[in-house]
Amino acid sequence: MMNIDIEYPQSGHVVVRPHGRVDADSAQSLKDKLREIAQTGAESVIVDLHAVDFIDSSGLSALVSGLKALRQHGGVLNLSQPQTQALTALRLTMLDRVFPIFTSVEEALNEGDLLKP
Amino acid sequence: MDVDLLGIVKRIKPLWQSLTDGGLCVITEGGNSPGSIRGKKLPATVRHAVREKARLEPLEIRGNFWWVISPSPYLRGQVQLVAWATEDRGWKDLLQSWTDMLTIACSETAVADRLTEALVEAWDRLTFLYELTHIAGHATELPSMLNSIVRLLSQVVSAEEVFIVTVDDAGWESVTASGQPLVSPSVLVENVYYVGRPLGLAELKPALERVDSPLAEVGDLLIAPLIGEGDLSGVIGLMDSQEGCFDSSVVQLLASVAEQVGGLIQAAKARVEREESQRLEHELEIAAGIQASLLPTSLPQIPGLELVAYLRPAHHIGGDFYDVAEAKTGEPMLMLADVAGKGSPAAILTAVVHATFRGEALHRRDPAELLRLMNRLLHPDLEKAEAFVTAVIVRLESDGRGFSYASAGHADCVLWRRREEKVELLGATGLPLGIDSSAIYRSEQITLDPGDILLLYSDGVTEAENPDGGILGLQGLSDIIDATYPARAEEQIKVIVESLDVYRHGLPLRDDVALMMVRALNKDEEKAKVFPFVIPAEVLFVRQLVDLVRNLSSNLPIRSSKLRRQVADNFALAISEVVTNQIQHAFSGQEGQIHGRISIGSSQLIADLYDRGAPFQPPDRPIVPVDPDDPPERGYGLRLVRGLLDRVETRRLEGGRNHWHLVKELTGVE
Repeated sequence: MMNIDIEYPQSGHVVVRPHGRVDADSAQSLKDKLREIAQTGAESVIVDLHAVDFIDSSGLSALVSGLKALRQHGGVLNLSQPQTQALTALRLTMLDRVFPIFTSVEEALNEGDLLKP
Repeated sequence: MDVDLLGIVKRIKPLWQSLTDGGLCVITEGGNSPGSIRGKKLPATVRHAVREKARLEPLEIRGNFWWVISPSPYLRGQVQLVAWATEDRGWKDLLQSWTDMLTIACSETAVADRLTEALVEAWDRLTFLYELTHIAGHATELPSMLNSIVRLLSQVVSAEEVFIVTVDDAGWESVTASGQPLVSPSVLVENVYYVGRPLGLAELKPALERVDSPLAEVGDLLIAPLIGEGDLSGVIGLMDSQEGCFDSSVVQLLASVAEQVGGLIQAAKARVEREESQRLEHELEIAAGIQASLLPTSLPQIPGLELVAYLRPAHHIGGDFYDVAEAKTGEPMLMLADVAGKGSPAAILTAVVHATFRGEALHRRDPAELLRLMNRLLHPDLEKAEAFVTAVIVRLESDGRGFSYASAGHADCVLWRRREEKVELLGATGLPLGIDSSAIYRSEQITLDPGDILLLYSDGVTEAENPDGGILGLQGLSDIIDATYPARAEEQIKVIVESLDVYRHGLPLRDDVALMMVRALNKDEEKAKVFPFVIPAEVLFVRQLVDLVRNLSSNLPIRSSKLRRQVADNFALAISEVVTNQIQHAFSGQEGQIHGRISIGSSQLIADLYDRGAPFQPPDRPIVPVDPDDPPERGYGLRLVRGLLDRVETRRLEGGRNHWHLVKELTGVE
């Protein structure tokens, strides 16, 4: 199973850190977690992909679903530190144009230094 | 000291010694405390306790236990017991009751006169129960244990005969204290069985008289059922020529003894059964070792051919096996056989079949002739054992271009033809061995073209069952060969064996599995690196496939290791998308397997996937660019597959199979 760590670095900000693989078998738990956080009225969620070594289309769907849920509640969803595999998947699906992608969690918190696709 | 007291002391001293191997002495008021017991000097602490008239908890001094026991507070009179033993098995209460009794005997002569006999009896019985536990701990076999019990009981109760009858599936057996055989034990067992409590002579008499048993004429008779874990395991009983000598106290005693002995018999039987099954297990392990040692240690090397064999018995020992030998003219002879009837007799017969094959192959060349001879030689043994053997014998031609075979009633062998990608079946050419001593066999000549595969197997392969009750069948077997070709023979066998595990889906192996594969090498395909696989059609297992592909990166013909990893990762993602989609749509929750192979060529990375799910339905909507303001929640899989691969082909094969052919060009990657 995939582990998901949650951190609250600042008020209104949530860092979601999945570990390992986000695939058809585990994506649902990420999706549920993101929707649950959106319900709490978080302003900004950062999904830190640093520890994700494999993501497939189900994982991408979970991120989009989380993004939509946050937008409904007036929040944003940013990504940070995707590994090569995840970045390839994001680019091929053009989702790199949908999600702001940052080089680190700190940058994402400050909303600076977008990782240029 | 009173005479009664002396008498009691005389009885309990040897009893204590025999129970504990220790010593005991009695100290009465005004008498001198002894300095030693049975030559053992009393330690200072013990002497002090005697002087203080203290009641000591067992005192362990230099490996011995000492007790100083004074009367219970509510009893008058001054008698103390000092005792020692080499171990403490809860003797304190026994010693206390003795001390109390001695105290009564000393102070209240009148009471003691009446009580002495009953008390001595009570102690003896108490001691008897201690002894019982002792016997249970030491007796190794049930008969000797029962012997000790009846002899011990005869010392405790006043009865001319004490007996035990044990009952099991094999019948009943009796043990008596006198050693004389017991008459009419079955009447006793039957009657007590229905009542389930002690029975006296009056109740038994009618039944005994009905069968004219001499037991009807004895003075008194008392029996009690031996019951362990709810089952009747026998009867314990007393007999005497004196009429009416077994009063209610004896009935009570026998009932409590019966309860204990019933438990002991149960425990002893369980121990015997356990030891027996351990012995059997051990023998089976030895037999399995012998059987394994009969298998050839190496397989012959034939130019142009690959040869692999595999055997897995379902239990310790099995009836399936394979063997190799050299024909008179030097060619390799292969045999795969199945001795019908599992278990030990079949296992012994496999050794005989091995020996006959090896011995006779040396003098023959023709598989049919070899089977005919083996049948004639083995027939008497097989007939006696009510067994038969199916076997297939193959003689490989030295040039690797063909073989001849003969089959004694064995399941159809599979010949997979590379050119047509189709299976031909090689059927039996005669009766199983052991059916008809004059059976005749026929040999068939078969040519092998490059890439062709001959698979000999036992029915444990094709009859592997899944939880739905389906069997793998020849179709399942040829699907696997088809999907994994042109992987090396060894790799293909590995996938076949894995497929059986996947197919059984956790069900235990019911039948032996034996496989022998001969493959004619195909020079064009030898250079390709082919990695076959099988996974259950479940989303959870797609990861195995992803891992397999990612771990192949070092085999890719790309110089940069970083790039190799990236290419492997991307290919793994593409396969993961296709397979996940297949599992979700083509199987939609139904059980199945996905077979296939990853092939690494000099300029291409290829995956071929096969399944028996529903046909693939291409998406009915075209893929449109993602709108950043309103990205779709689904449909990224196809985008990924398109972006990651150079070619994706899917076709429906004859017989209802899907074949996916995924290609990634490697030229231009660097």
